[in-house]
Amino acid sequence: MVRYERMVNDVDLTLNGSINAAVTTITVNDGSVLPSDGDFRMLIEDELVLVTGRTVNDLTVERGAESTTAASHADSTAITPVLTAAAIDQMLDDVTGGWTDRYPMRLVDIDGDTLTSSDFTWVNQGTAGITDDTWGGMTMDIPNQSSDNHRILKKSAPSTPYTLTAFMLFGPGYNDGGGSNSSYGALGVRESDTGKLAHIECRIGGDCRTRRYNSPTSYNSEQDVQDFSSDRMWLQIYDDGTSLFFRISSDGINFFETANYLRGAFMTSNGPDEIYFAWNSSGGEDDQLCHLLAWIEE
Amino acid sequence: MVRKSRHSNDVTMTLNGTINAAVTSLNVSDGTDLPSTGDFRISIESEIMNVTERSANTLTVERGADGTTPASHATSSPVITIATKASFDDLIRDAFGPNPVWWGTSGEPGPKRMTQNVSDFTWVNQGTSSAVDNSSGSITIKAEASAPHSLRCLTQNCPAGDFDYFCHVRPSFITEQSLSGCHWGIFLRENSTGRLLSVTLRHPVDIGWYKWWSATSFSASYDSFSFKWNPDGMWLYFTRVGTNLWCGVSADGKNYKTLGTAQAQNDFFTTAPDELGIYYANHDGSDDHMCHFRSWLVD
Repeated sequence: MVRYERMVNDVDLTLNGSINAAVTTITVNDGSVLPSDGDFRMLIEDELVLVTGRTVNDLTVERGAESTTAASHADSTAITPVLTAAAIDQMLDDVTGGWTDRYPMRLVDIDGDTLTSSDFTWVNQGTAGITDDTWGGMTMDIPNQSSDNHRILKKSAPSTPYTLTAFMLFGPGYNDGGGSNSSYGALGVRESDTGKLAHIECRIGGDCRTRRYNSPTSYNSEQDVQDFSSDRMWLQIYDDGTSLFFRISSDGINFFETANYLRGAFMTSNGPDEIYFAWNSSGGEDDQLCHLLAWIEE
Repeated sequence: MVRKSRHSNDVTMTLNGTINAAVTSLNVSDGTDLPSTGDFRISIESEIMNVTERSANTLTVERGADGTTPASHATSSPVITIATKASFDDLIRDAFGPNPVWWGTSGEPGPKRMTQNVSDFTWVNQGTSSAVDNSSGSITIKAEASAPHSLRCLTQNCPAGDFDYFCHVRPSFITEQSLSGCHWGIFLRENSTGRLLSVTLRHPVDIGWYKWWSATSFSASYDSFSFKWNPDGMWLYFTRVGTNLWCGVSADGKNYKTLGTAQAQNDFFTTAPDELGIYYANHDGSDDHMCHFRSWLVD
């Protein structure tokens, strides 16, 4: 059977035969009440063991789990199934493939405080709307429009250096043309006094572009384009106080850098002092739904 | 480090210094074995706190967490690490976001839990297709490649009055790329006439609200729009209120986009639908394509 993290209800078990601190097979008085295979965790006195397999009453174990100390234990010592911190993390890693390394699905500012839509300000709202979802994300609802017409929600940028990471998901209603006339989501920085924008954007069914805009409706230039077709994406911007770095990831752990350039290369005043997410529905349906699932300032 | 839901094993420690009911920073006797940052829960007497940061033995906390009441605590009070209902809810939220859905308020479709078995349905136009109950709870329909528009349907009676019907649908083995691609979804059906109304995901083309004279005969569309990318599947719904029907689709299980406008139920049906169900049409695809149905809510 395949190993994965399992939970065990409370059962009364004892050690059958004394063990030293090194053996990796231990025998219990009645293994029939345990899962037929690993992984699960048990406490013997002050030592945690990770059970990786079971054959009748014989358990294959990793000793001294979770920083406990492997020790000898006498015959008939009580053995207790336990739910531990590592078990919870491993269970989530088993289910998600990467949870413990990955950013959480939260919207939080540089202090770790939860953000809602009231912490953001619209730029070029048009008839777009925003909803705070009960679980903690935000959903933007935007009508169809022509060409570049970003619906932007912005806030002040943290002090440099900072990293901003976001996870965005397209809901139904988008235009999947993939080319210049299509729906996209973006994560960017803005210079407040000039209104200039620099961001990384993903066009569903097409590609991922790193671009500059003079305004939400005025394209300036493109610094990079990558093939990328997905309805969801992790986007990241790093501002070290000197340069801007634009990155994309599909797992939320490993990021690919698409472009970097000096803060003053395009922004002509004091450089970007605001951060934003934006959606565009070029040729999409009315009521394109766009979900912001994570926004992490660090 | 980024805050997210964490848990701590049992650590023996006490409060170092008396605290009142308001302070958000406290010291413990030995924080070495605690997570290096938040979030994790501790309990002091009857109060639960959410620890958002740790610096050595100093913890930054949210007081009165999980519905408890902030109170003063004397120095040397035991500090206990605990898992709570809310700490698990936070963990699931942090790990998954809303998809699989964040189980929460009334009106949302709930967990990805298929409460029906294949035996709760009757086949319509089964052909040589089959369906299985997966032990984890979902239903998979496996269908052979077929001529255009052959809907392999599993149907059951629907409620007599108003109802909401939600289902999460996920395709698999999608290789057909033509404009007449494989499609799958949920439907309402009138038993006496065999007519169907479907909410259909058609790969790689569109989402539509379609009328069918039968499981093998297409009638017309009420509404459709472009849709290509759904690697994790989509939530679909039908609603009947009074004599009107409408339907919609969602990527996150919470925010639904309505397809077209409400239709009178006798606009297409002779009288009204009396069945609902799930279907898969392997339209000119490869053999044995599959489609998975992963949640069920009819109320």
